[in-house]
Amino acid sequence: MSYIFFIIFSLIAIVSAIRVVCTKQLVHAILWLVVTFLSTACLFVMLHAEFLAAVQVLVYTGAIIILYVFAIMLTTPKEAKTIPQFYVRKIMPIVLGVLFFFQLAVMVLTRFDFIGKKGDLVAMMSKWGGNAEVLGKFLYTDYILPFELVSIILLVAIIGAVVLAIRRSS
Amino acid sequence: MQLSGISIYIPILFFIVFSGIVAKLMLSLGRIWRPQNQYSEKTSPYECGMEPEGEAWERVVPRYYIYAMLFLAFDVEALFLFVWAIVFDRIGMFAFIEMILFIAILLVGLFYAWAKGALDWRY
Amino acid sequence: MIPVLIAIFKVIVVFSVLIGVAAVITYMERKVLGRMQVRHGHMRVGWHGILQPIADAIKLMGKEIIVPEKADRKLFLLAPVITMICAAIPFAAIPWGAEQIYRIIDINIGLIYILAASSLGVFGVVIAGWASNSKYPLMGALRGVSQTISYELPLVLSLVGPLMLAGSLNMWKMVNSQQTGGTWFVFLQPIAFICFLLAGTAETQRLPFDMLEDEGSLVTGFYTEYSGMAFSIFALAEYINIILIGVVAAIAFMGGWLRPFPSVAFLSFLDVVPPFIWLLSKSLLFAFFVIWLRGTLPRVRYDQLMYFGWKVLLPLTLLNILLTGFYKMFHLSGGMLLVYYAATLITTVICLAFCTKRFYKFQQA
Repeated sequence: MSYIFFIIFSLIAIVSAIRVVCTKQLVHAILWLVVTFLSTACLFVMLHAEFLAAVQVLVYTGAIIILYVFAIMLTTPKEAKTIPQFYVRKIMPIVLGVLFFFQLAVMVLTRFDFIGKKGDLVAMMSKWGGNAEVLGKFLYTDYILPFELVSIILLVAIIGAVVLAIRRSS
Repeated sequence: MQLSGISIYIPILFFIVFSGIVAKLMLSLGRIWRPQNQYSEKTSPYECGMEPEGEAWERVVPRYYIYAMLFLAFDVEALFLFVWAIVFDRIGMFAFIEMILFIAILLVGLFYAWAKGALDWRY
Repeated sequence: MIPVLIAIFKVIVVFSVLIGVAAVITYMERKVLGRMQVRHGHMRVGWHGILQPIADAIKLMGKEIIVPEKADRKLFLLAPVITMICAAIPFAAIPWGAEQIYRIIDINIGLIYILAASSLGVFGVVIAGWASNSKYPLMGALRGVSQTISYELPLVLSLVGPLMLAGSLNMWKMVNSQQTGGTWFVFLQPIAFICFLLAGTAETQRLPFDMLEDEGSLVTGFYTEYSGMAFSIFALAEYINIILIGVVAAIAFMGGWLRPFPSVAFLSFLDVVPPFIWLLSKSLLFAFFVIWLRGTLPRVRYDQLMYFGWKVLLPLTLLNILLTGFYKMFHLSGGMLLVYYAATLITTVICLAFCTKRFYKFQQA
């Protein structure tokens, strides 16, 4: 049952990801990207990572896609309306994509146990009351330094956006 | 007698399918008796009765972009706050102080944008 | 198989009730606005015009749906459907009562699910505005998206206060902790409640914050090019969003499906009323509040809107989180509790006074 759903959602994700790259209209590409993100969220749900799925929907489809929409509206209409179907000329994105794929593959193959043991998580979840609670417990005790670093990164992002926008409009 | 495991999410699919069907029906049901008479004056984009001029897909001011960027930063913060809100009293004072730090650092960003005038909407 | 059938039945019932209540709100809106302007409202169709929503629906079905010639035809017709779906799916996680039968899905992160699902509604606006390929819809959509994301922050952050008191993201547990605590969270979280109401009004794009359908400058905003039933789906989705914000406000702040004064024993005869009626009537209270605002206040300008969202509501909600943290960390009671209440009230009054003063300055400038 869940296997069928897994195949359906991953097919939707892959097909819409291909449509993102192949479509000519930039806005259509963004809408296909929304479909990709949503089906990825469904896959997260199937892995019992409900909180991650909600984060995927809230941050990626809710905020980042909106950012893309505004970014497209910033460009001139001629650029925004059509894009060439394949950037064959530009070899760099392909190289980067392949490298990134290999990095992911190596990570998955060599460090296969980086999600921990399944039994631990179940015990933790029954003790703390749920997925989000366990996440919070780890985030605010063991992983406190990364958490505070996130705030610095967000601060840098805010300052960067402000500086860029001020320079652009003046 | 209830759904269990991963299948508890199936009602969401029902919601999507059902509301989609209802909306589609509402759009297409009236096709039986409603008029279909379209000509170019009627189908041209509405510009207060004038002839439409130029393209609609134009450039917009970058000000929208900065609001989206700020929203992204604070949305991530809100998610961290959600996780924090449900566990902080079980972890104790430590979690409370670190969240004060987190909020303070982001408030610096907000006040920076505020001081630079990025939050003022100018026409 | 039987659980699946039960789930389908529940979904159909909830969705039909939503559409019915939305029709009731359209009727209520016209009647209440009429009374506020010393008129009768509509009186012709049925007793006191009570059949008017049905008549409207039949009329709108007979109207032609015009697709502009330059429009992206597929997306243009897809936008109302997407809007409708995004308005409906958050209701999957709403519990309508304490028993299992009243819950459709019972997930542990119900509140975040509802926020995530309702944040998708912005794509209906984007698609409708962009696919029309017309200037007013595009500008309306851009403004609308910008407004929605700006007010989503105070909306989300004001819910953190009740969450800290309840200690769970589960909607059912939130109401439960109000029952065991013996008080509605609105009395412990006045700032959060006010911020939630204002941000919710802006989030459902109602007056005085309806910048994306500002008829003074944008005709009707992002659905200028829509006619007939396609237009009315947007209106219906707006009313369903009002119900959603009302229901979330009821669950997070006003005791959900509990009767008023849940801990007072001699009022227990009120339990005769089924729980979903309490929840719906609390939601209709929010609808009344929204209509009341529409009848009272003029529309704000766009710069005032952004000012209010980013510089008043956002710091206020963050302050509320800190105050609630102190309340919860130091287990305030007795005299300190009074100090906490005083601090809460004083900050609310100062902020509201400050922003009305700034608003007054804006109006003069």
